[in-house]
Amino acid sequence: MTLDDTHTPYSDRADEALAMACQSGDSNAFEEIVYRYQHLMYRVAFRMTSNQEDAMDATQDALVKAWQNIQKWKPTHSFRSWLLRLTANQAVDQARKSNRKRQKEVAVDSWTPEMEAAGSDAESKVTPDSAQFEQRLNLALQRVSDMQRKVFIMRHFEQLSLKEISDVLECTTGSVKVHLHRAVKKLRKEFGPETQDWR
Amino acid sequence: MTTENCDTIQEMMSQRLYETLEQPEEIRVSEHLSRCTECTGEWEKMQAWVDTMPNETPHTQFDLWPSVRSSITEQKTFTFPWKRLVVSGVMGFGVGMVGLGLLSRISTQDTTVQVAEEIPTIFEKAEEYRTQLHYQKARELLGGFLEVHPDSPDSGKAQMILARISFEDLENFKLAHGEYELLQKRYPQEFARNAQHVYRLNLLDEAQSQDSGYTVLERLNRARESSSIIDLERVVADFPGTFMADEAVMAMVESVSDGLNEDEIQTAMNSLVAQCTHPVAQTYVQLGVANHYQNQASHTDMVIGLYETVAQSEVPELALQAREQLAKHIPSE
Repeated sequence: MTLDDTHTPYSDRADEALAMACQSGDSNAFEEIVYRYQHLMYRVAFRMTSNQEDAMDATQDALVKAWQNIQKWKPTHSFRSWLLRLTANQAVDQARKSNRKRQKEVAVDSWTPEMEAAGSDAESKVTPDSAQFEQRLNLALQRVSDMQRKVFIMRHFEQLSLKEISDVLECTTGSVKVHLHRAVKKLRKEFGPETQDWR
Repeated sequence: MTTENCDTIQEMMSQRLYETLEQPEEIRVSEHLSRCTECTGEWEKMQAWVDTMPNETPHTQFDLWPSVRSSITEQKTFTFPWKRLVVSGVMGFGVGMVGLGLLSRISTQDTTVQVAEEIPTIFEKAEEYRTQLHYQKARELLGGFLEVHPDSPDSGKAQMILARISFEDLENFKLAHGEYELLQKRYPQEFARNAQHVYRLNLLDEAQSQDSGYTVLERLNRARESSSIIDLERVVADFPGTFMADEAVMAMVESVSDGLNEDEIQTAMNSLVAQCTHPVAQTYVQLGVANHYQNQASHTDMVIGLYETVAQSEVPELALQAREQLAKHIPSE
């Protein structure tokens, strides 16, 4: 059975209804939350950590923390935003905790001569394959601050609104705009035509 | 180079790229770009950059639930909030009073729940379900909230919205009756704050007193939905002097006045009164129409004429009401 086939009595319930059921100890409601959000959480964690294993660990840890701290979530706030905040923070912690040496090795290993050629050849008409693109993007994302990375990931990859991002990060929408601008500016330098003809 | 600072505009272009500019800023940027070739070139580069950027994260198939379930089962750190629920039973009334503070920030108009920015997500969601006519989902959401958080400062508001939604659903008046009774019992000040709550509970009490199945209200709603003047008049004739009759008269007035301008109202009301065949019901309708328009200066003549007719009718109770109203409109008499 695929996830799409899965339909439980909880499937139609709003996030907040599920979260309140969790606050009453209903683990079936939490199962629905896991199915509903694990992939979104993983995507955010993956972009934050640039590493699949770290992302998977961060997602799982964030889910466990969500259950443990479910009483701290207030029904007066968006549950999704609360969950994404846990995820982003957990991903930052996970990235810090993980082996720096391993990260460096991955970074060096991922930078192949073919990528170098594709990136530096200004007249090249060859489109780099998506895997190379991904690796370069992930490297570039590690060059911006945690806050800038969170904002950029939530807006660019997940299309969250400014309001929702500000809810997740517990800051003003003005602050989100500033972080977004700085992230774009830096990423264009790290990963764009300014430094290399990358197309 | 133009008069507008290019650095400022280029800062805004990042936001424009992600469609997060406010309209005045968007106008500023657009106007600047129409004059500045340097920034236009920069904008085109930015667009090319974002167009070529991957915008999706590679999909990975996995299911974390088994391992998450294992973790949360092993740790057994969760404790059910029994204590809080017990305490809440004692404190519910007092805390409900505190909830009134929050209520004062929201509108309690009958047809819409005005949601201010700071109003909690759960109420926004319930309102969303309400507008989509997903009453059951809205009820589950609010009912779940009240079950888990009976002592929240927001509980009174949740109960109020729950009662309102249950009534609007028109599917189960017994349920709506229970919710309004609960609102009155647990949050008396909140209940009394809006005359609509009192009116609806009176209406439900009255309907229940006719029969426990609330069939009168169902009949009234069917007549209202079909805009049947005949059926609405029968409700007035069968239950004169009741809230249900008042509802029926209002439904008649709304039905025939919908979309009309001021000049057409009087003709429509005369026609409505003429359609009524039951003498007592007709008198009720005349009084109801007069009451409905009594505060509108443009209809003063019509209102006074109707009150005068009712004052001379053979329905003593209504005649008395009409004379009292006439005394307000024509103090010298």
